[in-house]
Amino acid sequence: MKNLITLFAVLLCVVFSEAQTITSKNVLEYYARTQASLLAADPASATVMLQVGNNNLMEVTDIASSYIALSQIGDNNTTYLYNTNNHRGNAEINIIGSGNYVEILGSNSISDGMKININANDTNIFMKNY
Amino acid sequence: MKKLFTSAIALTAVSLTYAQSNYDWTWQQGNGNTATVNQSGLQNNNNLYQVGDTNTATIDQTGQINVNQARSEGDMNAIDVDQVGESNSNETNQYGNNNIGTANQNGFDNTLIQRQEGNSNVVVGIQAGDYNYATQNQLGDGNRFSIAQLGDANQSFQKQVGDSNEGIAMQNGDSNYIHQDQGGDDNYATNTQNGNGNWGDSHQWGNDNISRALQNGNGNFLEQFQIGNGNLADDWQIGNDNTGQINQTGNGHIHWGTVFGNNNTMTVNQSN
Repeated sequence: MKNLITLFAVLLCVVFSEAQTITSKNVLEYYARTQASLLAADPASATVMLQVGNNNLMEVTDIASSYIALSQIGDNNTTYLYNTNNHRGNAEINIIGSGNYVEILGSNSISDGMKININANDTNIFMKNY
Repeated sequence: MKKLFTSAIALTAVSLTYAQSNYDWTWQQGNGNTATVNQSGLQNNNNLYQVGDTNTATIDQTGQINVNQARSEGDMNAIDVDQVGESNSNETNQYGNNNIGTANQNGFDNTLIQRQEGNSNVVVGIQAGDYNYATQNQLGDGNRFSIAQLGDANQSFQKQVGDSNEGIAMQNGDSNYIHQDQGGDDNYATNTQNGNGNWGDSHQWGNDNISRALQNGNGNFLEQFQIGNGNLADDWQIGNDNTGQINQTGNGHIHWGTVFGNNNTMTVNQSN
């Protein structure tokens, strides 16, 4: 049993040492790896979300099976995404900047394969379709 | 009067000696049971109860006013308790066969309560610091629970019902909170907190669900709900005062969330 405790303690040290070396750079690498592995796995439903910065808000309500990837790199960004029907949809929204606002609601096909890249500050995007 | 006074002093001395001694009560019933109790210090208290066959228990208490209550009912169960410091309290109860319970406390006024009911379960509790509190309860077969609290005033609560589930809670810092419960089979939940004042909660109901949570920093909040089968939720919060709320209802949902910074909010609802 002493060995079990020792093993557990070593595991703790490994986990904590790994946790203390987390930086924004390797977080981005982790995010990229996660996306790649997830796409390769082709899951029934997946959300991959990243926030780097301060005071960002991100909200996803996903009723259908879909793949959704959202990233916010900057400050004071807001992103909502709703999909309130059973239609399969894919969405990828990448934001680099601050003060950006995106709100997308659901429909039969509005978000199917959608990809939005924002590299700016203080932009507003609304997308609604019923 | 002098004789009476002398007698009173002698009686008081005897009482003090008795009060400062360690206390052990061990009861074994059955065949092949083994109990080893080592106590050094003052006023340590051990209560050990083993009923069945081939159970083993090792209790080590060093310091003062440590309290241990351990019980195995069944066959081939094992208990290992180490208490170092002052006023630590451990309670381990095992009902069934082939269960293993381990408690390691080092510090002041830590409390650990562990209960297993079923067969081939393993529970490990480690507390190093002061005023930590942890409970672990599992009902079923082949379950594994472990808690490690390194720091002060941390709280962890874990509960699982079913078979072959595993839960891990790690706290490194002060005043952190973790609650995890699992109902079903083959679920896995792990929650790691490095910092102070973090709050983590994970609920899994169904089979084959996985939840992972990492919080590095202070004042973060993360809650992961999974109802269904085969869901995965994996969240990192690196920074301070971040909030995450993840809800998965149905089968086969996957969520990866990574937050790096302060005061961010992430809310996810997945269902089918």
